[in-house]
Amino acid sequence: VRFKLERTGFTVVATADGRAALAAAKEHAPDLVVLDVMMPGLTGIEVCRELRLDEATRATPVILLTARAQEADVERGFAAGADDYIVKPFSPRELLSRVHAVMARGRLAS
Amino acid sequence: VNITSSALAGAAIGLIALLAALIAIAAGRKASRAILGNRRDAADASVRPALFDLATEETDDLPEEPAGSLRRAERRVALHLLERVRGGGRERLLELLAARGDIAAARRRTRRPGAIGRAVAAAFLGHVGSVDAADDLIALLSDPHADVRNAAARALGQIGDPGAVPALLAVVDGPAAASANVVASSILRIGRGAIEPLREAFPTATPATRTIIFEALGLLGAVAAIDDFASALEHDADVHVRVAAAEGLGRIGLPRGVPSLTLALEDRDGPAAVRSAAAAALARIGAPESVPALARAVATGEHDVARVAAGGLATAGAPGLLQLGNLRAAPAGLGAPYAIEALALHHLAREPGTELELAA
Repeated sequence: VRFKLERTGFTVVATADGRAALAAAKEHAPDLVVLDVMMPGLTGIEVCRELRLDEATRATPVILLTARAQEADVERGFAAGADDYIVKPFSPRELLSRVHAVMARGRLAS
Repeated sequence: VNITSSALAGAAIGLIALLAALIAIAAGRKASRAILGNRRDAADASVRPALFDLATEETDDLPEEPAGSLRRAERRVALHLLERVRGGGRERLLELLAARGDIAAARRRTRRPGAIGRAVAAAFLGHVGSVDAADDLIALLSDPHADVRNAAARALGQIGDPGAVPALLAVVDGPAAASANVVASSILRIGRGAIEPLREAFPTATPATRTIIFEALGLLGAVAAIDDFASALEHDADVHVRVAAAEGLGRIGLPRGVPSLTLALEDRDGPAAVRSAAAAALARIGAPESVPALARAVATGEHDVARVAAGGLATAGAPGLLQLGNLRAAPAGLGAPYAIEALALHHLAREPGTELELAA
């Protein structure tokens, strides 16, 4: 994910677990957050819920990465406020087009 | 005394020397493993950027073929990335492995002496999803080593070719069987394309294979096979097959399965395992027409069947809850304890924290 996004010109801040992701999102105020559903500490869904509760990150677009076996989590992800999801393994091109689409939607909404 | 003391001292010195030698060997092995690990990491790191470019479709050009240990690193990293990408990136990685001759080499290795080599080759061909290698893998299903047979069965599932279903079913039992779990998982991985080959194999299959067939058909949601399920539930001579057929009807979840499940549930001369599976399947379907039969099953007080049937009534909406209420109201009835339990659990699930009326 990091490789493809950086190659495309995005600046990426990557973290190793859910709590660090939450802290990084609050610190860097990113244009987009990509969250793996299964992360140590806090799950992607929990991080997404926390982001939606914070005024500063409430409107930040969120994409969830989910394994095929966790597709049942997608509904919970949307309920937590995610904007889109991608099933692993995914095509890097698909990732990029979803990132562009979600960011465009976010710009339109704001 | 002197001789004994010096012998003891000698033995102690020998023991200490032996211990020191063992510690030195262990330390040496640890150090060499660390060195090898570092070399491996360095080799992987040097080939990774080019493979990342390929996997992320930054380029269509295959990198120059590296030599020696870097070549092994390239194969290792390419396989690692293969599991993580799909689409064009995956195709480029497969192109690379084919161009390097890795797929052809793995196919040759499936015919070589050395069970470990054959199992590794099968796993590799499964990872790359090589449809061309399906025949090599089917041949490995009759390998003398069980681990090789299992690796081949797993790989055939990863490749996903429905044409492999008859060969997979052929190794469910017998003296050279593969693990039934591996076979079932592989068939499920093949997906709905496996439904027709499964149905075609059914008439001539052994009881163990018929059980796997119904488990797989149920998990695949094979609505077209619903009459096969009903027929097997009613007529099959093997209890396990009948249980699998009942479970399959429950998983499919169509009311069309209710009549045959009701018959099985009410066949008091039939095996308890089948009646219990039928009750669970009816509970899963949740059709209102199954409520009277489930209520009668609770009233029998036959532990496994009554408990499952009571749980089914609790999920069948108002008519089911009404029947449970009636069963509970007859304290002398055999089904009363099961009705009380099911109502209590239902109450707890709906309103956690409220007081249970177990004494009612």
